[in-house]
Amino acid sequence: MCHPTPRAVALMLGWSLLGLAACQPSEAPRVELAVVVDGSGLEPEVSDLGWGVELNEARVVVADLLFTTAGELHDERQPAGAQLISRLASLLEARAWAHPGHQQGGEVIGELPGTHVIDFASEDGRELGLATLITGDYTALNFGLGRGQPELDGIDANDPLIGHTAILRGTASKLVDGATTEVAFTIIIDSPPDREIIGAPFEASVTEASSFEIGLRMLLRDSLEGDRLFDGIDFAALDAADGEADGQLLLVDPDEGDPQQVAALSDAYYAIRREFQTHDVFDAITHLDP
Amino acid sequence: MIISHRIHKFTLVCLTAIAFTTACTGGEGELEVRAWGEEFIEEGIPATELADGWAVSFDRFEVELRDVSAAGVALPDPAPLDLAQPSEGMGQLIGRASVATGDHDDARFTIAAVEIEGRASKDGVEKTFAWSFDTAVEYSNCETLTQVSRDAVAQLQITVHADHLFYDSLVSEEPDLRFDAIAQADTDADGIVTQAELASAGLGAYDPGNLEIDDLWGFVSAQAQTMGHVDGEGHCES
Repeated sequence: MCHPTPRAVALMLGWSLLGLAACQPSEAPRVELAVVVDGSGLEPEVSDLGWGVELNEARVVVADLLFTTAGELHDERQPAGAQLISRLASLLEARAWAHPGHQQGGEVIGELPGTHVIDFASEDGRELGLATLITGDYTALNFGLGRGQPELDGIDANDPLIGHTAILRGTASKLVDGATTEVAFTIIIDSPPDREIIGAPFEASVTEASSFEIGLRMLLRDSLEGDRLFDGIDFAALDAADGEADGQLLLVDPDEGDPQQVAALSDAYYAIRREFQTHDVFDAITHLDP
Repeated sequence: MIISHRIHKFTLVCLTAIAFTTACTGGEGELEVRAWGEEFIEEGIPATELADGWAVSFDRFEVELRDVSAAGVALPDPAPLDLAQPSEGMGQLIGRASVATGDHDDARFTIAAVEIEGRASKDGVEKTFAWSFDTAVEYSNCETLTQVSRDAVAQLQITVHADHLFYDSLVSEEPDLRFDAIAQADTDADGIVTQAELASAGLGAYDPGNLEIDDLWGFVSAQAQTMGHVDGEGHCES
């Protein structure tokens, strides 16, 4: 009951003001750059417990990409509209939390609005749209986590992503006593409706001459701190805890699925969701022209 | 002589006008600063407010305030204030000062420490707690405007939101209030949820955002650093 103005409202206000600012002769230069899915962050990783994890499905509902810079707009001719946007953006990010290696609380100077259902495991190279960016040095990326809805592109009425934020499906394998144990897992993640990822890395210098693509990645391994999405998860123990050690594991939100789900499964689900909802698991990189 | 007399008369009129103008728009007024924990601290947080049906009340909610200033005037640091004491909506007095009349937006303060004792109950089960938070948090650039005039005592209220202690998310705009996880942290089942027990409890469904918090004490402590507000819902930078 006491949080800042919703991001979406300020986003509309901010970009409306940017539109007004565009009428002034001192408008900051803007460029449009394509944002594409980049699957390179999902190379198989070995967790701290020795589980080799490979994802063959990593579908996430992503909303309203916002690109930020840590400092003031570099253009001294900054128009009044852009100054207002900066102040709005500062208000928006006032609750962002500091985290080593990540830039947060910067000003929003670029965006790709809209909701996108992205499979990071199978859609490498798919274009999500053209982002509008004010020229400047970018440091971070923010976006919302949505829920699958039937009207979204690529989602039909029977899609298991309906009503959920993400589906992570894959295999975890580990060599134990000379034999390989393999667990096929499905994790269905439900994030709160207003949940946002704040401060995912995006290091780029955008000029009027820029023509690169922006690759949006989901990461199995945090490139800055080295920890992995599935650290601490003992897939074999969880497989046994679900009633049958059959090599199949399903983790769902206890509030949305089975409220009687055993504690170990719930704890594992929450641990993965917590990590998934941090800025350690996503980033954006530049794809220079070949 | 005539010219000189006219000059004197003109000067007198001008000085009178200046004095009159100054008297109308300048000068000093009285500012009173209080701290209030709202009904949630004085009367408790009813079960209807918590998603899991617990009701919470506070026997003591002692706040140590430092460096309180507003309207360009710094107040002496008050003795620790127990916000659980009934105040009929007035809150506890921090201090009064004569300040310049006009509109002021420079309120700032530090919550240096918070000590609380309370209890939560649900379905005949009661859990008590006594926690101390000693991380000083400075609050400034607060969203409020204090209007000081000569003919009234202006009020500035430092509002402490105790419900934040029981939020289940550090980042959601609409977090739920919960106590189940805290109650379950009472692993020795003596009815007292201690800091050590919370430090040994995992976060469960709680969402710390990007903060590297992995136990309940760390989570509640982080929430305690968000309790300071002004004039009800006014936010401050911290």
